[in-house]
Amino acid sequence: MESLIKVRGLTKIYRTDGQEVVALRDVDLDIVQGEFTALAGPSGSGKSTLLHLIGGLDHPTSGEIWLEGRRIDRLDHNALAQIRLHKIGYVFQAFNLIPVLTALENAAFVLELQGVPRAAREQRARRALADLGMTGFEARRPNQLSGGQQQRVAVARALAEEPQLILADEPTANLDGATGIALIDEMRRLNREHGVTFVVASHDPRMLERVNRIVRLEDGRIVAS
Amino acid sequence: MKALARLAWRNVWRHRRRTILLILVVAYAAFTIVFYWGFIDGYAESVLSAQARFVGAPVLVMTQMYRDDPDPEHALPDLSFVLSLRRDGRVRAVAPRLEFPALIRSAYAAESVLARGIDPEHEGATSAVPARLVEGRMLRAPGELVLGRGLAGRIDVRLGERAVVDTAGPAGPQAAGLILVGLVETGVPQVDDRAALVHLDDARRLTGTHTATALALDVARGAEDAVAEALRPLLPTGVAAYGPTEMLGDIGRDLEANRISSIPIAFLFALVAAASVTSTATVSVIERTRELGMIAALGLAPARLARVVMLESVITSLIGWAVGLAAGYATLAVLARVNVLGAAFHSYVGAFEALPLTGEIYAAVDPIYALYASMTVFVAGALAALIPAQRVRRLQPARAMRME
Repeated sequence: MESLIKVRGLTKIYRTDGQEVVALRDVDLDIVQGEFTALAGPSGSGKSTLLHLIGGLDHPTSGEIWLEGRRIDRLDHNALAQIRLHKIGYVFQAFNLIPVLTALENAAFVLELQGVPRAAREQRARRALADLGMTGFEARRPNQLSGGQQQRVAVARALAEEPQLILADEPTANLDGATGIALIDEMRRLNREHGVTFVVASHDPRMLERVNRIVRLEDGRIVAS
Repeated sequence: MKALARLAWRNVWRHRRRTILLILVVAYAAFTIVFYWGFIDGYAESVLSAQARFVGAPVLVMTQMYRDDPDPEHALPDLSFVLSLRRDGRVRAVAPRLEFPALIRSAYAAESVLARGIDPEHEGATSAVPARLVEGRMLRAPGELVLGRGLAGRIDVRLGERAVVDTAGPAGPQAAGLILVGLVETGVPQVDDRAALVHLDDARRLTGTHTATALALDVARGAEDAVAEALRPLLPTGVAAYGPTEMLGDIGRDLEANRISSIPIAFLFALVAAASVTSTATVSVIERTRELGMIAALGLAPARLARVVMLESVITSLIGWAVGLAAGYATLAVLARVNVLGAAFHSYVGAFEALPLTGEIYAAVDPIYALYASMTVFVAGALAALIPAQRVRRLQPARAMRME
């Protein structure tokens, strides 16, 4: 099967205050359509960096990143923004939602940027919120929602885009046990029912128990896949 | 674009206190500019108007020949048009004058002066001099004389004493002995050291002229030049009306020079306002770096994200601009009608000794101040929009989201 994501020889070095920190070293990785993959490893192992590079949020120091057969590691900021807008859904650990927008507006925000007509985007956003059990919370602002509810809205936003790929960075880190498990189960269901590819950076054992592939990183290298 | 506009609008009101502060800074800048120029122009107009009322009149009607060569020979040919001037709604009062060069002498000394024959009944409405009587009384009938205090002192003549006015009219040398009934003091050397007011009948008799060399008109403050211009087509051939700017060209040029020297100060206002708005807008962007990084990560291109930030500054600047203009023009409207500034200056001892003012300073109101204020706010708004936007344009989502 053709890889949705193909990474070859990926290296990322951060330079701060004259010092070099190697976040990723010569990483190779393939992820096919429909996989639910977890990037696991201790803090500083390079999980988030790999996720950010795959998602076009940063440029690698060297190496290649291919998405749907298109090389994206050399694209400029605007081209990467277009790819993020149309191909990838994001769920972050914190600061997930735009504080001045309601849950419905947040869920529909990316669709609005894509130019989807109002009626269609509201329908898709409402359906995504309903899928995540957020019916009745549409008019609330993020500060009127719990942490778990905010994460559900963030997932709904990613889902409403109907992307092929959702990247999630420690999505359960700030959630209590039951809420975290509920969110993971929801993501698994979306993966099964909609065929959405998930790549999740996490060291949450609850998450790692429920995915069908774990890529382990240590000191910027893949040690098990 | 609608999504970005909504985002910008709500971000503006997210931190109400900061937004209100920013609006107040912009409003203050706009208000200050409007007030500053309203005061500068109003002060200049007030000085010019006061000078005109001491030295001449708000509007003077005379023959063009008399303006070129002020000799009673070039007096107005007839006064038949006075009635139509009195009926004109823009003219509040008309007073005929007959000025002539004369030698005024007492028993001890003599001085050459430009004597002014006046109609005591109407002169007070067109001139500020009668109101500055410091001793005695104004003219009531022929045979009387009022002098500037400096002039009276130099020729050593006192109230109740006689002075002789000599002149050479078309009928040959003429002289009249007149009783000094009053002394005036205005602070204007041209009046205090040279004014010799005689009754119009005496002036006519001495010069052999039966009309007047000029008509002094009282018109609304601030409208002098415009009324003079508007009256010209209504006057007989060879006769024209002159406002203060034409009559007092040198003083007008001095005031214009002062106005130009005020421009650097206005520029500094603009700079301070721009710096305040820019720094506040930049802090607001720095505080939201993680959030902006998240929005960029969702796929909003850097240029579009920068547009959101620019829009926030534009919205704030526009509101501040409107508030500042409204407050500025409302203040000027009051100060243009009520003599608050004159009273305030009057409390500063010595202000009116140095300045030839009637004690009245009114603000000017001109739509051009809105343009000046707009230019200031535009500079402030542009800096406040472009500098933070430039920061956003360089934003790297991954790095921004890592920032604390």
